[in-house]
Amino acid sequence: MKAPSARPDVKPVRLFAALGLAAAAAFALSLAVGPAGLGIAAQGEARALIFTEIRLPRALLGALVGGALGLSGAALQGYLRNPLAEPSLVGVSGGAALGAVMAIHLGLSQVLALALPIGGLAGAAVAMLVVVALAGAHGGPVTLILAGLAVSSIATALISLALNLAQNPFASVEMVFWMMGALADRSLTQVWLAAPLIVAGIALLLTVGRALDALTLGEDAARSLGINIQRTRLAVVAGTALSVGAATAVTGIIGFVGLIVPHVLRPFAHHRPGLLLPASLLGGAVMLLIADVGLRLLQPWMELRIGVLTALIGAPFFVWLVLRTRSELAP
Amino acid sequence: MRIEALGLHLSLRSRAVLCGLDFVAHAGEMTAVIGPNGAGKTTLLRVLAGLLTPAGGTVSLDGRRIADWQPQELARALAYLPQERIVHWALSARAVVALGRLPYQPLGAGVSAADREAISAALAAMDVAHLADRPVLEMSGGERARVLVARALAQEPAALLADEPAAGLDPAHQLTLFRHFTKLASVGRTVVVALHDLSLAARFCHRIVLMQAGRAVAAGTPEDVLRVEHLAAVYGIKGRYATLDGVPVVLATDLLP
Amino acid sequence: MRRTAAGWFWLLAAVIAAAPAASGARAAALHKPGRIVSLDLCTDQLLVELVHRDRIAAVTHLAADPAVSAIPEKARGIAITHGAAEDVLRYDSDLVLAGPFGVSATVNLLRRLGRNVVVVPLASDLAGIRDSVRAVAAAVGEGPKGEAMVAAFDRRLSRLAAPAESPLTAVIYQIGGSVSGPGSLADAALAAAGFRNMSAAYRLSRGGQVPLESLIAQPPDLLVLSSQADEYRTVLADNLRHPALAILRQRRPSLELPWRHWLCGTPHIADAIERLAQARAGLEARAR
Repeated sequence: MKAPSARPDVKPVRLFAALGLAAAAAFALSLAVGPAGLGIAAQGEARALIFTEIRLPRALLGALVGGALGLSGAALQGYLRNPLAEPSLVGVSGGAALGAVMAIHLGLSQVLALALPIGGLAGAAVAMLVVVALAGAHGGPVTLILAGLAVSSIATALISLALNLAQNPFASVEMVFWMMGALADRSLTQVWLAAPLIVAGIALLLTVGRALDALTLGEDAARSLGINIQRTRLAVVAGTALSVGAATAVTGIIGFVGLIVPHVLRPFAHHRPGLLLPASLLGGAVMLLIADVGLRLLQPWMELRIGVLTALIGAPFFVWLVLRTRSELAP
Repeated sequence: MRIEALGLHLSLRSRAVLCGLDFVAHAGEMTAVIGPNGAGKTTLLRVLAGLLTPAGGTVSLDGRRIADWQPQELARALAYLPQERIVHWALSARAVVALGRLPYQPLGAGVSAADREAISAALAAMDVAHLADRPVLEMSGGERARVLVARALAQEPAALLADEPAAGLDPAHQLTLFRHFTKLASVGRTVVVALHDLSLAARFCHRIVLMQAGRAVAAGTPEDVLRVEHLAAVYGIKGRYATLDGVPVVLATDLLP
Repeated sequence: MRRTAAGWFWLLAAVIAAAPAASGARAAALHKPGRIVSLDLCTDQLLVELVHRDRIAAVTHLAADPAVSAIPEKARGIAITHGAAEDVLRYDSDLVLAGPFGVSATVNLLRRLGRNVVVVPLASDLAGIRDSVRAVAAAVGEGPKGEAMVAAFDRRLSRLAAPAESPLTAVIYQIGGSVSGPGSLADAALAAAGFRNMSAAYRLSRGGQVPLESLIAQPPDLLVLSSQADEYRTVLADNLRHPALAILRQRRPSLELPWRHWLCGTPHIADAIERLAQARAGLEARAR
């Protein structure tokens, strides 16, 4: 029997208040930090231009993308009843990146700007459906990771192929963009393009809280409590595809946010999947915004990609998770 | 609520599980479904709960076909307790029991006073009130089982379908559980339990349905069903139905060759 | 016996007389290779302008790409190689021209197989361009043509106006936010046109990238953009399409200078330098 887990006695209201405050603070911080200093170096027109066209989109994307990643991670973990699920481990981010790469290199995004986030959403949806079909809701962690790995690998290979076939000199550098993510120098145009889909996905995901709570007892008991499993699955798949698909199309693959945030917040949400959803939404925004601020502070010494930073935080966390699981399963 | 099933046919993974089964359970009674492993007890309960649709035959609840019931309506009227005691996340006992109130909470609604009352009553009935704030995953098997029963009770259903609810419970808690089920039946609820323990079935249930290979081989009072010849034919055992201190007991004295 | 001896003598004499002619022919063949393969965009361009295409066995696919090649029309129709050693061997070339990067494994293999490989170093300034031209000209046996090319190049440069006392600043802003730092060809072009390369003033990343913010906070006197935003379909070109850059261009002088003019160390860089010098003259006139 494992040791009793720490159960901080935090009322939900206080949890959300704290997270909301943290998100607002992180957003403000993201607006204030950048290579041009705190806007002091630039005067008048330049300062306004920097704030509205460069810092604001970056902060908005950080909040939206981080929130989408955190929320979809919590939703996937709740729906698959598996604490290892998150969009990039489950291959959804890879599929989204592939969809976006196709949209760009087939020239679709030049004809219709919206083709880019839609490409991402299509790629994400296909990847998710394949993984859910491969692993099944009854598949254990190993099956899930294997299915996710398979889909991720295929997606990466196809992205590489597409970039190679595109015959432009930037193929290898572009690969880095998709695999490591970037929030830098994105424009408000891209925010307006992706935001509606991300917000729609987030809204859809927030509706499955009740179903995820019921699924704690397994599918049969949940159905007997009046939950429509098909509709829940549709909402999870569509919500993840919309939010993560559109987000990845604009920023590339950013991993580990969806894995870490629900894990860290779960005890504070009393392990209730329904409560964890909005908590992870806010928590994800906080994590990504803070990571992005950290990135800019490190810039004089190191040029890192955001995906690298989240991986640097996430990989040790993953190792800790494995070790903890091992000790729990040990006789 | 009167639960009635006629001519149920169902195959799972191309194996026939229910082969023309008839079943009835009345309000105010506890009905036991017994039979050897693989007889189809769990499948029957799942069909009665509306979780499986039979290929042939009908299920009616209070005279209405189950397909005509709205999901929310059905969830309030009927509670299903699966055999696998699944709890995926480390919820507290109170939170698990509170899940039983979901059918009464439309989307976005919080926990009402009526909900809180039902939850407290259910916790008390199953003698787990003192464990209310402990994570269910840290409890013993028996404690967890009782918490899950409490969840079903919190639903305040007209009918309760329980699959092996007493498995893993100590004798004291087995008695407590069945006494509570008896009380439920006495206030007009319908209780259907799938059981392995023939003595429990004999002692507490008004009716017993004996299943074998997807069919109802016998149905009636415990005395009618738990006859030596039935036990021999269905279980392959030499069985004795006796009374000890006024309490019915069924013993398997030997295996039949 | 006298007739046989005379016969032998004439035979020997014929052989001796023919020998220099034969070796001369061979030498002539070596002196002017006739099946040349080029594995680098920059050597492609020099090659195409120095020899007739009948003597060219293959060039890279970039030579005919109008985005990066200054002479795409001249390279159209020439066979394409992607640089694999097998490919090169297929052409049975008598001369392989290569740049210093990218195909070193191929170059090493070809040398081990005894092929004639000439590696032309990267030109990082105008003097380097002259060296490149001469190196390629020597290798293909067109020394005089090479000298003529250099002379024409120098004549064009001499026609430019001298730089001002305190030169205006410029920066060449490329895909992905890259700028050309000091010691690069682009830097030399800016200097020849009379500008000061402002890249040193920015906090550059390891890859030589300038955040858009820094560019806006400290804009150069002339913002030079290296390629049209739609030239390549890549997400890396997003920075060239950024609304903030568009607004910056509305407010400050900018010039679009196609990549093909200054990407490689060829005399075509004079096109870029002339346009830059023109822009400078315009700015100085406006300032007065």
